[in-house]
Amino acid sequence: MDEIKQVNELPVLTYRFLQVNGATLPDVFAQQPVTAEGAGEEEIPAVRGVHASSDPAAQERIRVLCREVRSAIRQKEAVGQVIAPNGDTTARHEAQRIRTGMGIEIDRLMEAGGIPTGLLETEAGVQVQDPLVLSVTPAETGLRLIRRFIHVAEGSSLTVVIDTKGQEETTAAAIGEQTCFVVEKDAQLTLAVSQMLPQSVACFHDIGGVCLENGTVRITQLAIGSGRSYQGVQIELAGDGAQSEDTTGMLVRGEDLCDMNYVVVQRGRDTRSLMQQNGVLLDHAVKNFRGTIDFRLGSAGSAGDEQEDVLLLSPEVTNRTMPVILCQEEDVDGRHGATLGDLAEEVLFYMASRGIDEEEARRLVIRSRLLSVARQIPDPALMVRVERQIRSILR
Amino acid sequence: MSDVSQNRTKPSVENCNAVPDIDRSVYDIRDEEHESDFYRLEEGLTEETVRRVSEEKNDPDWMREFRLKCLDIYNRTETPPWGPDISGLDMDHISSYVRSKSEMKGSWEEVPEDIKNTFERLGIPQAERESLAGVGAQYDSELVYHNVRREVAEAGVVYTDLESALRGEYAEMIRSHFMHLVPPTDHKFAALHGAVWSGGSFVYVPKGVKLDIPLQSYFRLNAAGAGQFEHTLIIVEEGADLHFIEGCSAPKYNVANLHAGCVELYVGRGARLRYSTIENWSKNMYNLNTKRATVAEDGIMEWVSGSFGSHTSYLYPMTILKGNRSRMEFTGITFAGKGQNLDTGAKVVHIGEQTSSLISTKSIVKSGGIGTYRSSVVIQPSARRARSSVSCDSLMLDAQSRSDTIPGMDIRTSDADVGHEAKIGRISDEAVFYLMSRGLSEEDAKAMIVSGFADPVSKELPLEYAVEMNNLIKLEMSGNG
Amino acid sequence: MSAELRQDEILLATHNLSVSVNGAPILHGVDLAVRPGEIHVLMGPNGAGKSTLGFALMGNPHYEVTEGRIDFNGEDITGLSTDKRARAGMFLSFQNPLEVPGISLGSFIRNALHQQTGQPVKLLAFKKQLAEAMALLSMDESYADRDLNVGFSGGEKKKAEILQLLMLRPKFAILDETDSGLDVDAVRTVSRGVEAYQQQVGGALLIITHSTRILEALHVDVTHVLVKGRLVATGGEELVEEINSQGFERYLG
Repeated sequence: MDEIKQVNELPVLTYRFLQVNGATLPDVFAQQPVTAEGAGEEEIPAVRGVHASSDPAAQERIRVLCREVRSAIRQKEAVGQVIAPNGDTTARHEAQRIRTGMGIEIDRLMEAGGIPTGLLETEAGVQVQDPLVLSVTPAETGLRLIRRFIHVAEGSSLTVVIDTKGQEETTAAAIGEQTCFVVEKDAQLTLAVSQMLPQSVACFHDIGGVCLENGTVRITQLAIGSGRSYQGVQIELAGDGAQSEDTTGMLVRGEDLCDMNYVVVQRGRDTRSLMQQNGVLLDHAVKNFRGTIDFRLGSAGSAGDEQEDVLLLSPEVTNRTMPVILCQEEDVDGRHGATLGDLAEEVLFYMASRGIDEEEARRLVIRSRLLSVARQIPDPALMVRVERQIRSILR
Repeated sequence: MSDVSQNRTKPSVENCNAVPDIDRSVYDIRDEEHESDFYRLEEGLTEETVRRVSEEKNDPDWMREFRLKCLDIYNRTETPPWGPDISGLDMDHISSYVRSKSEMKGSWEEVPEDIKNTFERLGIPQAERESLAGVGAQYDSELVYHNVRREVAEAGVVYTDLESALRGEYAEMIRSHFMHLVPPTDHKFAALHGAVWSGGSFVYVPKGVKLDIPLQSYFRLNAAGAGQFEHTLIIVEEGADLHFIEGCSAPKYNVANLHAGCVELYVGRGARLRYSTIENWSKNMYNLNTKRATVAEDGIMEWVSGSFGSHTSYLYPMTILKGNRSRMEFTGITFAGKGQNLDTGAKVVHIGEQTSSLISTKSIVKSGGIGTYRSSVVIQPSARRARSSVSCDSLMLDAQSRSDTIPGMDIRTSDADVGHEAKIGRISDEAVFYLMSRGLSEEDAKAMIVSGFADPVSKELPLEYAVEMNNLIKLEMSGNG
Repeated sequence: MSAELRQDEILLATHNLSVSVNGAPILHGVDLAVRPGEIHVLMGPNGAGKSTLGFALMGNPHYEVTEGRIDFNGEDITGLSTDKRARAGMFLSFQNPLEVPGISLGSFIRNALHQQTGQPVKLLAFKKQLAEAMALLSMDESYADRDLNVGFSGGEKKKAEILQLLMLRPKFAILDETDSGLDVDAVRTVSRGVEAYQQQVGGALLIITHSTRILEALHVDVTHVLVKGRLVATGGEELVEEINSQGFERYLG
């Protein structure tokens, strides 16, 4: 397989010296995925009200769904003369069935590996109470790829927890996941993604989905573990009144890299988006974050907000941030804010005046930051593990 | 040196066209022989063209070699993939751009309609308009210029055109600074500039000299012939203080539509330099300007930048905060109207300890215009206790336009304090309603709100420029801009 | 004063203490001696250096001791870091308590207790104690789960400071204008908290204040007047009354 070129491509290119226009996946993802037989099919626990399948009929069903969604998006695009932004990169990814944060290269990787897509589907109007928990572990060695598609039917709601974890020190293993979703009219999806892999396992998680009229998606992501992690999220708020909320907590340490590309495309009227990044960088960690809010023509009455708060706790970290707002609509309210740096001296003094030394103050803040994200994941057992993971890293 | 300048205070076509006519044969045939392969080749940027430019300028040897090296870099460098489309620029005819400044006509009839209208609305009298047409803007009389000159000279300040400085007593200083800050390898148009630069200013402010009045460059540009590849080199020595106003304040009519200027600013220890520009080039201009400053210990660099004109702009003044405790402030406004694609912003690199940067920009788009705010803040590991704060506001005046914000940050130390905020929105209906309820027309109400939005920038400008900027805003708002 | 303490024992002393901020001298040769359980009041016009003294005692790195020294519990603490002073039993109630997003008030106090005692803090006993202290201060229990001082009103922030005073039980506490900007009811509540601290812990206090309202229910042992960075007068409770009626005029000039 060829080298995997640009993933996590910025929707609009900028100065090359910033090195944020995209990322290159490491070679470990260029090998043939393991388990040729039934490759990548994951076990999906039976939950009432959810149908799961990865058979050919399911693949056909996904094709139909994607066609419908794309025609809905095309209708939105027909409202007027669209002006492309400078440095636009969208054309390269147009062939994706659902636009994802990491882009078309992941589709190609999945297709080349012959990975079938697992379909999870709710019935219209059904509120699925119990969270559906998917447990993902890497193979002992080699590359594991997983591809899934979540369809939340009209008026229904679903919570999916994706728990990616692994035994300590699996050698030369890598794991790649792609999760696409379609949230229909008045439907709701809660997606909780936790990545607590050993440091030696490289991983990516490529997420992309569409919300139709009044559809809501809420994504919570935790990334604490893998030494090479790539995450992409692209959400299309295609329907009027669609909403998204996307919260990420990450802890990057050692020589590790965390590379992210988050995009919200607001097409419908009165859509709402919120993107929150809560991060902690230690040692020589490198973190690249691209966050884009894209107000398309026709998104009048919409609002988008993006907030990034990253604690830099070592003089050797590298923190690259690209908070982008693209806009071709008059009546919108878009904003972003970023606070980057160490704990303020005043905070440290206040803590110290209560007997908490600098190291402990930092530990306290790191824990509370990550736990505040973890708390949003509806799985109490996970909280305990997050605590343990943080403790073991900070020891 | 001042003698040379004195000679150039009387702008006239002859004076500007100081370059001898030796190569007329090449350029003049251009129109008739357009399709001829032979002349096409001649019109592309060749080594011969560059040698000829160098010869005309009577360059020192090192400058000729430098130009040729730049040409080589230019030929090997690709255009950046991220900016506005510049395919409308006919790079095959680059040599004609190089020459065009000497073909500038003084005839009012040749000035495009939109610029004539602008002059009329700005209330510039007919007599002045005519002089403006040929040689660029000059609102004030020569008397004013002489006054400025005298005060400047008394302070011991050198203010001259770069070509003559290249051969005078400051030759070595020029050699050790020229395109050291903006190397030709920086990007394709920096290389182009290095190969064919022509005209521009050299300012040297000696140690401890503080100028109370701003220096204004458009006199200089006029005198030197208002080239599209002018080079500005300013050195402000330790403890000195200068406010320099770049002379694109009035609309400028250029035969050619490419402007690839270069500005290099050296701010010494504890010195302060304020560099203000209200750019209002005609709307067929491709403005690919490179501006850069380096600041020594405790020095202060202040930029005030307004972009109103041009068809396409790439403009990101960059500041290198090299010395400890050096500071920069950037205040900018960009107004992109019909047919304009203005990609503007600022760049800063923090190297010294306790350096600080403050970037504050406003962006307004209207009638199909594209406004892009693009920036980068780099904090190097050595820049301990650096502080950076960026805020950019965009105002959308309709849904036919676009406004994008593409800031970048690269932080390499924990011991820094970096804040960033951006907002995008529109004029609130309530505000328009409120003003209309007090008797303002909708147009006036909106113009007033936009002026208020731009106020933080106009506050930073000398009064006459602030007035001019507000007039420009009104003009753009009335839909006739 | 508690019976078991000896009269000659000095808990906190400054000797000829001079302090600068950003190179500018603020305090000049301040001598202070506080015995266990005593209540000292520090008064003075605006800008006299009262808060500077508080910060210097607590060891804020921005406040540089240029001369003299600070003793606490018989040891020279001039070079000790702030957290170690806190662990040794010192406390400062901030005039403008900081907002710390992400950490709840409850877990912050629990963590501080753990740091100070070195012992694990038993959750149930802690919760009970916290609830009692909050009740005393008329604080809604929900505040324990809210981020430290984030979105608290001025009064709530001051109450949260006194709550920490009650929970951390220091030997010596500096209250820096804990009563300023509060309405009558809030001052009474805060004052009740300080009284409870005196009764339960028997700790000494240095109260920096402009008004006497917070002192009404307390027995003041010593009053100091600080003007332009120097202690210009020291007396008993009567000095508070005097300044209250006549102001600082006598001491200026």
